[in-house]
Amino acid sequence: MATVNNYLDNTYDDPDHRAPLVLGGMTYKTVTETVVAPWESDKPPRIWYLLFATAVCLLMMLGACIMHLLLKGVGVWGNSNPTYWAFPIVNFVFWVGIGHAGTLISAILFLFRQNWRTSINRAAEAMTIFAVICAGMFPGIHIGRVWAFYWLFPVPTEHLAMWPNFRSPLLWDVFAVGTYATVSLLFWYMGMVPDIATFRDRSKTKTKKLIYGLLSLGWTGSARNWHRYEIAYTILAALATPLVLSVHTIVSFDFAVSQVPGWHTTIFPPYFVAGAIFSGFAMVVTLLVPARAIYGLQNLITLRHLENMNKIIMATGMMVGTAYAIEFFIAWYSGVPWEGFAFYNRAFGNYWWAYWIMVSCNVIIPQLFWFKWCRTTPWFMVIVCIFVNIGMWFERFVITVTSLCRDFLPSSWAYFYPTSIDIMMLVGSFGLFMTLFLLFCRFLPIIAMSEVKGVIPLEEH
Amino acid sequence: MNQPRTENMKFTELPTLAGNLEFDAAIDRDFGSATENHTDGFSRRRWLQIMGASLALGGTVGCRYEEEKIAPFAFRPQNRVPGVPERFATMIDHGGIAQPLMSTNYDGRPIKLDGNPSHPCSMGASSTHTQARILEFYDPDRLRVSLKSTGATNKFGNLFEDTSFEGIVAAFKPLLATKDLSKVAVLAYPSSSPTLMRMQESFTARGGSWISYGAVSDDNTRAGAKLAFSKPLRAQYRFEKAKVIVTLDADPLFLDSGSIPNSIAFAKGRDADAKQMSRLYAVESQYSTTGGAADHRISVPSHKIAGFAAALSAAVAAAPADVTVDKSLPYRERLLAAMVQDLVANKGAGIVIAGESQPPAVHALVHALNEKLGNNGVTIEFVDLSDAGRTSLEAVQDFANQVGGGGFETLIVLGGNPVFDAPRELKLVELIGKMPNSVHLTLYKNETSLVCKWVSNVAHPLETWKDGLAHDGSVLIGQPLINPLFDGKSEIETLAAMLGEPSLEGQQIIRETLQLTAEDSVWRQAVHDGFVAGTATEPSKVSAAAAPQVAADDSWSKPWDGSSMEIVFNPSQSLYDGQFANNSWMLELPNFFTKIAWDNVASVSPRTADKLALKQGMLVTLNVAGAKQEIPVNIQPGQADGSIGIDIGWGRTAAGRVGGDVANGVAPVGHDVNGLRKIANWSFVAGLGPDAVVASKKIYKLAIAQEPWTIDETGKNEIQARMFRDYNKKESDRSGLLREGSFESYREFLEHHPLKTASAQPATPGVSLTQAVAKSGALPILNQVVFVPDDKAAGQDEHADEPGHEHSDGHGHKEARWPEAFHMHHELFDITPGSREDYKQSNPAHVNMWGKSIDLNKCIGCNACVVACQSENNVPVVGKDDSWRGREMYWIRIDRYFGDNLYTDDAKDDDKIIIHQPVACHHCENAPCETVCPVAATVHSSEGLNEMVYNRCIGTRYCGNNCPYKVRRFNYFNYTDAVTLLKYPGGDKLPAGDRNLQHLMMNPEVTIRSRGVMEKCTYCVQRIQNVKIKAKNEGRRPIGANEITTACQDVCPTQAIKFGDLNNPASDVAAAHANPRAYSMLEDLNNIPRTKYLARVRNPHPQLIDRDDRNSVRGWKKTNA
Repeated sequence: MATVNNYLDNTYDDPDHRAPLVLGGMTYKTVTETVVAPWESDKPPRIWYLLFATAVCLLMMLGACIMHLLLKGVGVWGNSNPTYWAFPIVNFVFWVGIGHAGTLISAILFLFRQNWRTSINRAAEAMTIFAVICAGMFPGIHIGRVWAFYWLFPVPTEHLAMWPNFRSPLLWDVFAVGTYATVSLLFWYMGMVPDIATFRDRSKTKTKKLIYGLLSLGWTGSARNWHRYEIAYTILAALATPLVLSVHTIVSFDFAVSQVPGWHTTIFPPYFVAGAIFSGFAMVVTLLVPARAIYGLQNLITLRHLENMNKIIMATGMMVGTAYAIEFFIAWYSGVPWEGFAFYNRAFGNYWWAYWIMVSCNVIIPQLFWFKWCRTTPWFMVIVCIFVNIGMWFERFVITVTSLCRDFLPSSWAYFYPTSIDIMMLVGSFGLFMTLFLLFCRFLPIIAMSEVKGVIPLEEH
Repeated sequence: MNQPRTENMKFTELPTLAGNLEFDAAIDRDFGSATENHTDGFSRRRWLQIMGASLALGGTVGCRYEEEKIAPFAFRPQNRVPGVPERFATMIDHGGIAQPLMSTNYDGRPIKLDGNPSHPCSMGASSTHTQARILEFYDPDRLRVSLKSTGATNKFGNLFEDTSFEGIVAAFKPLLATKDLSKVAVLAYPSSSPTLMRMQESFTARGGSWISYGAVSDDNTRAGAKLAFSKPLRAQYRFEKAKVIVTLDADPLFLDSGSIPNSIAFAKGRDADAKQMSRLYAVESQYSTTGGAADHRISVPSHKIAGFAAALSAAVAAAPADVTVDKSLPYRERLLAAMVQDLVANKGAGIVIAGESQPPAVHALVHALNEKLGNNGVTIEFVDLSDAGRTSLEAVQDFANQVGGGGFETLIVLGGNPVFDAPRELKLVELIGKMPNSVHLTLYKNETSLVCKWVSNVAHPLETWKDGLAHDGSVLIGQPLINPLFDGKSEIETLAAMLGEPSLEGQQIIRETLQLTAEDSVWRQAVHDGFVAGTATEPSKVSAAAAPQVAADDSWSKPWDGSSMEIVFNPSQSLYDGQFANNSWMLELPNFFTKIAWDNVASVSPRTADKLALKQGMLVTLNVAGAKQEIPVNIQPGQADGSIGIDIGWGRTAAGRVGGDVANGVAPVGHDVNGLRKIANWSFVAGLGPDAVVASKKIYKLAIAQEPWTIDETGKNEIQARMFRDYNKKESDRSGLLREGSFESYREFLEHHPLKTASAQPATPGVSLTQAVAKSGALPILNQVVFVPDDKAAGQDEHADEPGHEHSDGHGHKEARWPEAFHMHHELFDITPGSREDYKQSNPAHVNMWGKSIDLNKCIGCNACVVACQSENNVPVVGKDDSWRGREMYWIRIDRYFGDNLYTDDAKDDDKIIIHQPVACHHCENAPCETVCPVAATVHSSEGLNEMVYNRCIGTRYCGNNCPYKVRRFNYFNYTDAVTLLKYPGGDKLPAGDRNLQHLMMNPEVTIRSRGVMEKCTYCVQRIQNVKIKAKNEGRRPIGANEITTACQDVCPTQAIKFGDLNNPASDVAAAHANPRAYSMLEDLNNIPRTKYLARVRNPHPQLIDRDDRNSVRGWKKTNA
């Protein structure tokens, strides 16, 4: 085992030296051993069991809620007549947003040769996949006739006898999220093949050997393997890059294309993408800080990595803040009374509290990252990031619910009250997410060993 | 292929490896090989693909909905074409007045009730209550069998065992066989039936006592008429002839027994397009439908209205012929002066009406006032009553006294529910309970049944022969439409059998009453028509006696002292006296003003609420002379300060599984306030102190269809800003949900720009619309129906040189050639030719273009359209919880807005604007719902209908979000199943027969929507299709101009709704769309709706206008500044 040096700080910038991305004098061998250790140990740490048990309980609660929903109807949610979309869509947009950071880290940062991505990309990508699973679930079960969900896909069946409506943003959504999920999964899995092969090679039982053997697709580590791998990885990175921008752009079209005041704004695509990256990075930090502590990965996921992410959080947070301000400006500048009221009402109307939670969490709290202590102190940054995630959930709530609950006809205005099912499903979706993530931590390489090895500082001779 | 591995392989040169198979394999492994691709035969991959796909797709073919076998008639009954509805005339008595009806029967069962179009008291229109009768008819909670007390009781009342009709007759016939019936009483619910009256006569002739009692009565009205004319008479108001109408706590347009004919006449008298418009003043303690329709309304507590009436009477008496109004007077006094001037100036063309809540003296005063003004006999006609002796409240007191004194041994309760709704201080529960013989003839087992010894199962009026007298006194005959569902006999038949009458069969009894036994053809004609022609009562020539002394009191003009309270008891708009308490259509129907469903509330004015520190929905305890009742508070603008308004009829404890059945664990719906109602203060109780209302901390969950008045300031201000167009804003931003202008300015406008009547543009005669369209090429646009300003205005421009004149308004409209003074009308009454009919230009292929218009000037907000639509289109009920969440399913709803007076700032709290706006799907030409549906479940038809394809809908609800009118309704649950349709707790445990009973009520021509799909108004597409099919079968004839009607249109007493083909210039709807008052809601969104509203025209008194209404739309904020 490599010695973990908690005191070595690589967060300062020395023009003479590139700051090291791997600390503790780790070698190829120690990197492998550090990453493999949690998997090879017979028993995961006690905290893992604790977290896993909690997550599975929440997952079961989610399952029960879904069963209740399927038996009774979508009325078990609090949606009402003006507020046709509420928690399910809020959760969907929230989780899709979370799912942004992974691909951004793995694809865009890869293409820009940001080597610090290597330590965090695997976990971030995994998080992306799991977040997209959570996201995909909500629109699937939020529709009135769940059993007919596949009618959203262009399936040439006899009884539908026609194509879906290609003018509908919801259909674009199906394609956008579907493509994103597919490419992200491929990207994640393909990037993992060399590491899975390492697991295969180190497997001690036959079952493990079989499973990891199948998953590693016959990876031998040959030159040919590596050659094809690098090409494919770059191609997938290039494919995934526009998707990072497109998914949330298209998700934002669900809102922007409609004529609901508060939704019908052209700023939504960039605003949504910035918000998605914002929340995604916050979630990565929230997950990786405990993970690195539990698995002793401090030398691989260094403070510098965390700090870089916090900087991105601060930057995107300010973008989101700008977007909030511009929305108000446009609402006033356009002179459209509907929009003017929608935004005034958002901030000062019946949902003022949700709006100000959102602003506090998304705009004000991330400003703490101006202070180096704040962005380099793991426990503190987790708190900030949790606030960011709360804020981002409220952002979607504010957009969805406050716009719908007061649109054109005052006669149809109505306050939205969530039901307990709404709350339980939101919490339950975290159960699903955490279950998947904890299983990932247990059975798959958390860190891209093969890639990290490429950025180990060479010993100076 | 595999060679055994050579153990001692050594380094070899490349050439020697060539052809070495092991080496080739190694190369293949590392660099791939082309040998995988098989070109011949069937590849493994392909095989798996095809098999997998077949399996997946083959599996879906097996998915089917459950099939249900039905047995068709082997021999078709005569005169019945399966699937073709039949219509029969009939009648139902409501509150002692018979309502002429037309029932639509489908395969032998009634599915919809409408007014009888040939009877002048209906003209096809009907009320919410009439509509709701059909649900009552199919209510599984109706009494199934006659009951007999076992002698045992529990805390809810007697326990019963089943018996039969014969059993009851056998028990009572001997009791009634004696010559002397002085120990026998009949406690009857008010009825207009001549047959019952005949029975009453023979019954009382033998010494029996016949008491007619209803909680909603016209005692005061009758007593007042008796004071004035020395006999009770019924007033028939000729609203169409009136120029001035003054109502004092009266509601002739809704709660009055003649509400339908009154509304018809009222609408006729307010035809702004015909430049004929009455002026309606309402003085009342709480909003009534009439008050909502009024031009001027002030709220005065009920107990101060007598003072107002006296002041009015005195002022009229003192007024010279050319009385003027002093504009400097305080608003209330100015209003009185204006009223006096109007009444004096329009002698013989005025109507003053006192409401039932007012004491007889006020009625007599009003009769004298009308007499003095020459209105009696002209605008008010009086007809004799066939049941002149009816005195509900007095009679029931006498009855209680006599029972208490041991006067009666036998009691027959004929319908009604006196135990629930008679004064509680009479203690009828104990009195009736003590009587040795008591029988309740009833449709439901209710609170009264529980104290009677016998309960006789009465058939529903739709199942029996019945007769009655309409509001105009004409004789109505009702035929049975179906065999009794649960057996049962009519009240007439039961009574006849008990009294041992010679004729026992309903039809025969009625023919005997009407003396039509001989003339079969007359009888058949009468049954066919639903009424006996020419039987309307002739008005009697009477003159009112001099006015009685009513203490003049000017407290009505003073502000509330902040402490004195009164409680006013109103009949419930939906439950009436409580008889509809088990009717979920009525329970869920939002009140016109409070918009509250599933509850009754104590309505207080905002100022009263402030003073007593009450909050919206707060539970309070009302305290009247020791009687206490808890009830939630509703803060209601327009309520008189210090006056608390409550609806009676709620809180039934033995109504049924919907409305409350405490014996079976179903909590009552609403709050029973009958305990607060005392004989001495039957209509209202005044003189209470502030301690009459004790607030609690609890907030009660009220299901309100529109957010209450008490929402946050941001919302409240915005509502005010959105109601009317704001002249200070840009044209494009000046949407305005409502438009209103004064009659004065509209009349002036019409003088310059007369309406072109529809007939001025002749339709192509003899050409079928369906044939007129060529198969290809240029399709003829049959006629452009546009409003064309007349030549003088459009061409010569007589106002060209006036200052402020504008030729072009710069926003694409044709030149608006009006002086500045009229520019406002251009805003108010948009007459832009052509631009509104874009859908015709963009869709020339449309032959029939369905459209609708709703005249806000006519709509009185009576809710009839809402229930009619519910009945026609199988609209489910969602229950209180889902109503509270705002998931009601109504396809048409009535939006209600309160605003400040547009014409004066003096009115302040008084004289608010209230506008009802019925909203259903607008069938937009650019429908925003259509583009966003991912599965194309809502699409546009070639005739311009925005259609909903239920079986394609998967319920993403995106359409609902994008609909600016919020008329789309989503089935959050399976609302149409047995459990939820009628909101039966434990409905799934009902026997199958009961569950299916509700299915019989459904209109088979309208799909029953299941869980998870969106639905909305279809413009009654089934009716459109029926007429189209009929027209096609009749030689492809053109569809008549107004041949197709929607359910909401049929039921509307004021005919505010028009429907038809916009492409047919002869149609009413085309004319309405071309009317200069027509506007589209949310026009700036460019949805191009097919439904247009016609601006409301208000007729305020000129002296009550402080600012030109041309500025009136300038917006709320400015006027308040």
